[in-house]
Amino acid sequence: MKEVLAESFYVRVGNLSDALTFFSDVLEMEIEPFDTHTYIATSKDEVSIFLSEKQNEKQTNQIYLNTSDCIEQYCLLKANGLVFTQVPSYQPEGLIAAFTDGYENHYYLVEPRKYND
Amino acid sequence: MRYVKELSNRNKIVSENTCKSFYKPSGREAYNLKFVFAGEERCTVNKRNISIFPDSFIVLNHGTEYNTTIDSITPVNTLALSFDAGFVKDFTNTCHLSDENLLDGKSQSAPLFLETLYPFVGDMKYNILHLKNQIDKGLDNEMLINEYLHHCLLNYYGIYHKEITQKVNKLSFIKTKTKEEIIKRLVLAKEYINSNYNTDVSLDDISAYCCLSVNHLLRTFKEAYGISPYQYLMQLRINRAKHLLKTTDYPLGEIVGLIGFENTSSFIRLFKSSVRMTPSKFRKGAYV
Repeated sequence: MKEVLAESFYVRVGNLSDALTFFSDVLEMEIEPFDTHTYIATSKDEVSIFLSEKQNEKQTNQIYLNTSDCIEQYCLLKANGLVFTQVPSYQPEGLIAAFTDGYENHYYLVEPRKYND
Repeated sequence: MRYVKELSNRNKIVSENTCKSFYKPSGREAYNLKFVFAGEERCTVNKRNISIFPDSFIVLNHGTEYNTTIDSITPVNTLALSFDAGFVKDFTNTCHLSDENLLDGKSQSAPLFLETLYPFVGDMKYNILHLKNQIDKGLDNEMLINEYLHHCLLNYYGIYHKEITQKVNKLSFIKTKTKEEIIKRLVLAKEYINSNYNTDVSLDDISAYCCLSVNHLLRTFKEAYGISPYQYLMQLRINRAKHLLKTTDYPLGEIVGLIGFENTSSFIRLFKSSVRMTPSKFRKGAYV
């Protein structure tokens, strides 16, 4: 997996209203309108996700969310009803879990770990 | 300060911060993993006196008789994880048996680990420190605790593979049984050095503790670990000095004494050649 330093992602969703419910209720992210077609979902680590039904060239379907404790976040989100496509697994970069939003967008919950310290 | 949490699957967590304690379990069928975050906890297992420091943890099989003692001027911060024997057996079966065998109800016997000190590093360290952090905040979520415990066992299997299985394979003996027996004794040699690192450790003492002749010990230790027992001792002293420099404000002279050096200048020379900076520079860097 590549190291991702992006703090904002542009994501296309099939149904904005459903997506907003998913991001606010399940992922517990802050939601605010950006323009008539776009909303911003902001995570605790201040990653902004621009959600829109309309296609644009900046959009990606791989979103990386950093966390200081992947196991804690995994349990919290699982308790909110989120089904993970990958349980917390050990990768060279750290501990990583994965899930999707139902619109073929893949989210990676990443806890970076430095093993040489 | 003491935190005790017994889960519905009979796993148990005890976290303590104390200067004095004596604990002898009452024959409960459980595996135990014990960690120390600050200070030293002594553990007596089958007449072996083992010291647990913050860079290592001990694993004890179910049914093993042992006791632990804390006797310190400064508080010793510990965490003990107790895993129900059935839980560990089930975990091991899930990890090692195929889905077919699991569906057929096949099962392996409860595992017996080498009861000794293991390095507290990598993912195990990350996960245990997260768990400790949650405990300090009054963690009560059983699902979250179980997830940490699951990962802790997973991490332990990884460490066991690296420390035991891989080292067995490094030995040049033909018979697997001989290799396994040698590793059991080399593990004792490391355990002795870890527990007595601040005393005048001699090769004769180590060799008597692990039941290997001095020559046999020197040859097989180097084969398995790539360094001599003396080099291992020096690395250990440097690492423990680094920990004390980072986590305490003890004067250097006191640290030198605590880690078993008689002479401050010879310690500084060794520290510089190993860490490539003086102890005081290292300490300043740790606080930046």
